[in-house]
Amino acid sequence: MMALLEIKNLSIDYLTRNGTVKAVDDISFSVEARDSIGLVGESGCGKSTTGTAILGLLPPNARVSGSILFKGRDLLKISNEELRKVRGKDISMIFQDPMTSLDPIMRIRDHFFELLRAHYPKMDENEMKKISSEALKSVGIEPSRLNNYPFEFSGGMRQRTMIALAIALQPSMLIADEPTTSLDVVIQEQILEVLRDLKKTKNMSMVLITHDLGVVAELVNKVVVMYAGHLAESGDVYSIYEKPLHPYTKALLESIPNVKLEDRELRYIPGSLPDLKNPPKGCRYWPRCPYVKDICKRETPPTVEVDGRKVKCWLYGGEINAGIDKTSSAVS
Amino acid sequence: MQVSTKQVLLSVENLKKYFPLKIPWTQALLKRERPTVKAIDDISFNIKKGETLGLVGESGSGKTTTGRVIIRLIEPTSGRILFDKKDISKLSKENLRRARKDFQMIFQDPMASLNPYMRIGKTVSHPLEIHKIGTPAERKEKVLSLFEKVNLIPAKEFFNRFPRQLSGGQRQRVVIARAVVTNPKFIVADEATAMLDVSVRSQILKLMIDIKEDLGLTYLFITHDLASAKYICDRIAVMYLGKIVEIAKTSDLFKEPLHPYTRILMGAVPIPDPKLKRSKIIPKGEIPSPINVPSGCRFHTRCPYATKICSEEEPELVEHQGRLVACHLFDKK
Amino acid sequence: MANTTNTNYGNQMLSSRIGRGFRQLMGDSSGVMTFIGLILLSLFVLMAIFAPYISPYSPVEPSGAPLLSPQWGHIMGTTNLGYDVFSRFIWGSRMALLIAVIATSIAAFIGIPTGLLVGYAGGVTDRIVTMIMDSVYTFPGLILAIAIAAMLGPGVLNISLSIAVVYIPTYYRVIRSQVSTIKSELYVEGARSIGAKNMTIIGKYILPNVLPSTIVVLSMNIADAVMTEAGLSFLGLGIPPPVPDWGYDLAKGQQFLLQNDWWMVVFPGIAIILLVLGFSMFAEGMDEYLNPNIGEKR
Ligand SMILES: Nc1ncnc2c1ncn2[C@@H]1O[C@H](COP(=O)(O)OP(=O)(O)OP(=O)(O)O)[C@@H](O)[C@H]1O
Ligand SMILES: Nc1ncnc2c1ncn2[C@@H]1O[C@H](COP(=O)(O)OP(=O)(O)OP(=O)(O)O)[C@@H](O)[C@H]1O
Ligand SMILES: [Mg+2]
Ligand SMILES: [Mg+2]
Repeated sequence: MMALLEIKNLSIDYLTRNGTVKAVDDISFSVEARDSIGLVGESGCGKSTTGTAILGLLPPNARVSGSILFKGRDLLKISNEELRKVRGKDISMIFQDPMTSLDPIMRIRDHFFELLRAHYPKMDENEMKKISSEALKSVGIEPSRLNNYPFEFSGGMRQRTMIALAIALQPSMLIADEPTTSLDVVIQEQILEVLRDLKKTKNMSMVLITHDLGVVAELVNKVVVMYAGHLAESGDVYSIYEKPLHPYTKALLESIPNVKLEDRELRYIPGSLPDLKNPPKGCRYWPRCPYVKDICKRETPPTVEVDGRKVKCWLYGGEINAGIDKTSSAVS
Repeated sequence: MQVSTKQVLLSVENLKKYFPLKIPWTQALLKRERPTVKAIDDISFNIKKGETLGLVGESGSGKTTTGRVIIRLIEPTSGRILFDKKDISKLSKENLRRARKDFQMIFQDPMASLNPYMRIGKTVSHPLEIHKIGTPAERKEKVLSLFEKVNLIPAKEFFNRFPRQLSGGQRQRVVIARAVVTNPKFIVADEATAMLDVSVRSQILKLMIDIKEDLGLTYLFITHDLASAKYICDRIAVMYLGKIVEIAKTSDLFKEPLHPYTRILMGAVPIPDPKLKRSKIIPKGEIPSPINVPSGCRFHTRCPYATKICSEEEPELVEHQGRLVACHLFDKK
Repeated sequence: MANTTNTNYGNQMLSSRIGRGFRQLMGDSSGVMTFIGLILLSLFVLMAIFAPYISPYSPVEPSGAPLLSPQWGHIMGTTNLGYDVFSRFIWGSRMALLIAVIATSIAAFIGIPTGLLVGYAGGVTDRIVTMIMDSVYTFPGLILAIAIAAMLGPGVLNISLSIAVVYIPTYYRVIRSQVSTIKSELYVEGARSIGAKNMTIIGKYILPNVLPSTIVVLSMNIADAVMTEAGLSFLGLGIPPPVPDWGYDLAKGQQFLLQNDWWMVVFPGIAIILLVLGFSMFAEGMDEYLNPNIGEKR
């Protein structure tokens, strides 16, 4: 069976005055119908870049290679006009920045109307009003606030408006870039419920981009972990949380703060993301990796399959098969 | 330090902020009273010197508005704001402008709160310029040393960058640097860490604590992230629909949340374990709007413990075991 | 600092903005458009500057028999008075550019500050000034200019002034509407929170953010002004002859069109069209490129 969305060997560079930013480097993964994928990783590792590439909305200084097959069509090859028809209706996206993604001089309702008109030019005003009210209600905002301007909304309300816009047309695929960063946990839960519901009743599949591993655990069935533009590890959510293979995944899971625990200590991964204009040779994680070996500094590890998961690390595959201490699991 | 911790730095009394709602004029003619968004509806609290008070609560419950009113970026509808025993809400425009160096705000969105056409070195030194502190050379010196403190290294190179040339975490640090450059006494930090991933977030929180200790600051820390609140706050106030429903010491609040909303809030934190999917109490019922505030207790429409009195009478914020909570469950009457 | 691994993009000599601009010129099609616009403009500007050196004859003295068709010696023919059309074509660019530039400068000089102040102040002032500006704006531009020009009489400054009045509202509207949205941006609130004075906020936080679009309006308006000026001259309200002016030549030439002496109309016409095209293409392209969100993270 063909996957709904299949990303193959996707690489994206940004050309800048001081050099080329290798934001995404040779990543592949696929999304089946009704799948939800969590795309996780540190700030600046190329998550949004990947998400935006799917909709063909990268800025002009980006250079893309590889392929993005959606229902068998390569989105990187089709015309702008065709791509525009795909956007919003087949695939829709919730952008990361809720403050700047809404047009400040347009009322909330005009945002909805514009979207609806773009795809259904003949729809009448009442119908449009109905759809927008429904969508807004589903994210917990009263329809009477359709007349407000974005600046009259709180940060979280803007973010919820973005979500409402993205699901108004009931797309078959949703790319959600940090959809719940400005929301309190109760409303977040409510929105996750809406998304789960869409997944179930409308067969919507989803790519959830986030750094919140709690949300990932709640919503997705497959996880793709990115590190500095590389795909570090991918596989199903249970096994990744239970037994992370890549040292980075392990560190990431361990740094989740836990409100339930007594201690007030905050853990984080020491060091920082490498400069993507000059990524380290070999594996990009080696400067921060506790299991670093000589080969890691010399050669980029191949992507290998371990227990049905993909992992890009010298600890696995080939003759070296030591593995990291498999007993320790994620923070419980 | 010991003595000053007892002193109250900021005290807010019966603060209200209503925003008039825009409606088509045809409807406006028919209605006698213009509908308003009751963003904050009669709240009172105080913050002691050197303390960090957390403000958590539902999205749209009025946290940002509280922060903005307190430092008088917008005018309160009514109420008093005493800062260092002076009523800020009565200061004249010019006096207010001068007083601004003492209280600063870190805004919810770091990208949107930086002027895209101003280099960040200038952005951070601008408050000094405005308040005529130091010579240009001293200002630059100060900004550079501040950049090193917030880990924007090499400081000289960052000095000339534009906001769009920084990553999210770096922008956040710029905003923090700008807020502390005038050595203020009080800072409102609005979701200062929301957009950051756990790793960077921890670093920024540590930074904020360091700076606080260095400069003897007082924070109002607005957030929806309970983990951050737990880490940085001494006390936490919980807001719901424009009202404060509970104020308690951080440890008390996490050990035993009293108000039903607080309990639900604590319970809804996603657990990073896929096997534990969906085992939470999530309130049923629609989120009420601050335009048509429910009668009685505002939370009764979604409260699992609601009784008859809850829909009739608004509970006051009263003391219960040394903590403040506004709920009929704890009302002695 | 500069990364040397990438020779294409590293170490550029030009200033950052221009460098970035040129890169975009090479890139997508809007860049090509800007580029063509820029070339057209440069040609006319050079023509205006070096008119005395490149024009073969004096534009205000007969240089041959009247109404010669294009031929060697008079590649665009001669007028009914025996003036060389090519020389007038070249010298005409001076007048066109001069008036367009003066007019737009006056309009910008009045429109931009008004827009800034009124937009920032808001309230009643805003409503009144906007109403006045809107009523001027909705008035047909050429007719308004004709009325004012007729009142003021001919002369470079008077013509410029009457054109300027037409365009003040354009600036005002663009600036005011931007200011009123930028006013509610978080960074303006940030500026207020650090205690900046209103004038500082307008000058350092708002103006830089509206300037890019002003440049676009500026070049679009110059295009319009060239046309309006030609229109005024065409109607005899412009610069008195024999000063070389395309609009006047167009009007004159039109009288001879019936007897198939097309060159008197066609060449000044082409000049006007090319110059207007140049400015508009340039403006379009600049719009794309100056928009701070393009080429950045969205
Ligand atoms: N237009 C651009 N030009 C140059 N570099 C860019 C551009 N957009 C993004 N980058 C860089 O590409 C890298 C990946 O950015 P991206 O936005 O995909 O990160 P992300 O994983 O979404 O991070 P975050 O969690 O902070 O949103 C970053 O280093 C960023 O600085
Ligand atoms: N300028 C304004 N005009 C009208 N209504 C406003 C304005 N600013 C805020 N509001 C309303 O006031 C209420 C409280 O907003 P506020 O921004 O304080 O919420 P918040 O608690 O900060 O929420 P979040 O966590 O989502 O940022 C919201 O309903 C919001 O729409
Ligand atoms: Mg991102
Ligand atoms: Mg807020």
